[in-house]
Amino acid sequence: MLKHLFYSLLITFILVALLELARPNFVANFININWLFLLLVASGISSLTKRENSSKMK
Amino acid sequence: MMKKTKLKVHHLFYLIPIVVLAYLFWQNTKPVLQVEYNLKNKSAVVSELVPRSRVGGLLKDKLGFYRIIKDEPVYLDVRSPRKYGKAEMEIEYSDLENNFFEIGVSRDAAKKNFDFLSLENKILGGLKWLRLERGGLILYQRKLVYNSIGEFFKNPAGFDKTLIYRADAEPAADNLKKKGETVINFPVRKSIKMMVYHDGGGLDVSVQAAGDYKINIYKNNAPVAAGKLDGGIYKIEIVGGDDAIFNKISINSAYVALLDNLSLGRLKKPLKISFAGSRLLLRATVADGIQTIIINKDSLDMQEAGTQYKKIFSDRSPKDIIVPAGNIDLSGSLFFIDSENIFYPRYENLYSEDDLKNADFILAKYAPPAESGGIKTAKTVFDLKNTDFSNGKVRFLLSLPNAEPGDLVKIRGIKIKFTGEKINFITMIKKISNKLMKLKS
Repeated sequence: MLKHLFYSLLITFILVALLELARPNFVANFININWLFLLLVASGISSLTKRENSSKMK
Repeated sequence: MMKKTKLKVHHLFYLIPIVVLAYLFWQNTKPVLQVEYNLKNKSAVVSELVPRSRVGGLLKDKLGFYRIIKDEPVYLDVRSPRKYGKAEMEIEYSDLENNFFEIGVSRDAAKKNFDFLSLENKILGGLKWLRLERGGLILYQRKLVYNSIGEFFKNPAGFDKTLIYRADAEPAADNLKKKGETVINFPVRKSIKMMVYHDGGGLDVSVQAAGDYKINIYKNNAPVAAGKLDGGIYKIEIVGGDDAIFNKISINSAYVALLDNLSLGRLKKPLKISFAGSRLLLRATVADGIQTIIINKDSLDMQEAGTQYKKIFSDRSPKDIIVPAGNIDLSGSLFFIDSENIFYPRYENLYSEDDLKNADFILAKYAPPAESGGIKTAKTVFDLKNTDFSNGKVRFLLSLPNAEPGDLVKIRGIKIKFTGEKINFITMIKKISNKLMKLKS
């Protein structure tokens, strides 16, 4: 489940970053990209730790 | 056989990018954008009031939080995601020390030219003259002469008896029949504004300059393209960078009035020009500009560079000025190259209480602010059709004309509502294809 959250945030981040590069302030005026990046990292870390925990259980 | 995919909860996560993109497209294209100046912190869209040296820190009194403007002007930048047609401003303030409080919006990409509107004018607010009003335009009369504003425009009062304040009106311009050319053959720095009477056909403006510059032509405040033009009064702006010097400017009109400011470079020979207005301000830009200026038969000794010298006149009739060396900034109402071809393309602006002594009429666009519980709220609407949005930023300017540095006004809030045309899918496709065509060409 967390893996899918991470993938969706990664897609969002890439799209948003490309949009901001192509048209400056298109994103930054309304969304703080730093927060999106933090969310992406947090979801990545938690999806990894969850996977490790579940493989240890096996 | 085709494999059926079952929708699971985690598939909903893939809606996140779609929702985020839809939100961003909506925010960037929606016809109304409301933003607010945050007294405590800068936001992504609205900057702080800058330069910071002119604005005090965040303070609080019984009326709430505020920041004090200590010197003018101060600027506020708003990042604009698209072009808008108008901006409704709402400024909350208190403790205004100055007679005038105004707001401007940048017009050009360089953010050097501003259109101004009044927030408060204490002189007009306390004026006990007769008052006529039509569509936001107010005519103040010392004694009853005109019964309506229409009557005033049919038979306008003379330049020497009338003042304007943020209104467009001009004295009657008759007998402008001379043909000819006006040549400004002395060095002018940075920029120059002028109004010319053009009798129709091609309006030619040629400039010999060091540095980049741009020529803007306006009629009734709307930009027009150079070329064949109808007869009438046109405003011409020649705008250069900080280092630009215009060595020679030629205009194919005998009637040219230079407006507001004249920044002279170093002169090769003394310059004689005419000036009309009740106030002349002079400032030597460098030590070389320290000189004695002759105004009619009087002389004005400038003893320091950077200091502003002021000469007040009892009437607004034309006076001859002789500038021996240049390197000075002259500020006043109207300057003329040729004293034989004087014409008045506009009235003098109301500048201080002293101006009222020589005036019988004032034309103004002014609505006093509302006051509630010690806080004043001024509302104004800017037309942004001619405003440049090309770098995604609109600059506003808060001005307190003639104010000496000090605690000038307490700013308690600024709200801005931008309104523009609705953008639908077809207009968006058209705009994108136009941009692509431009890029191709």
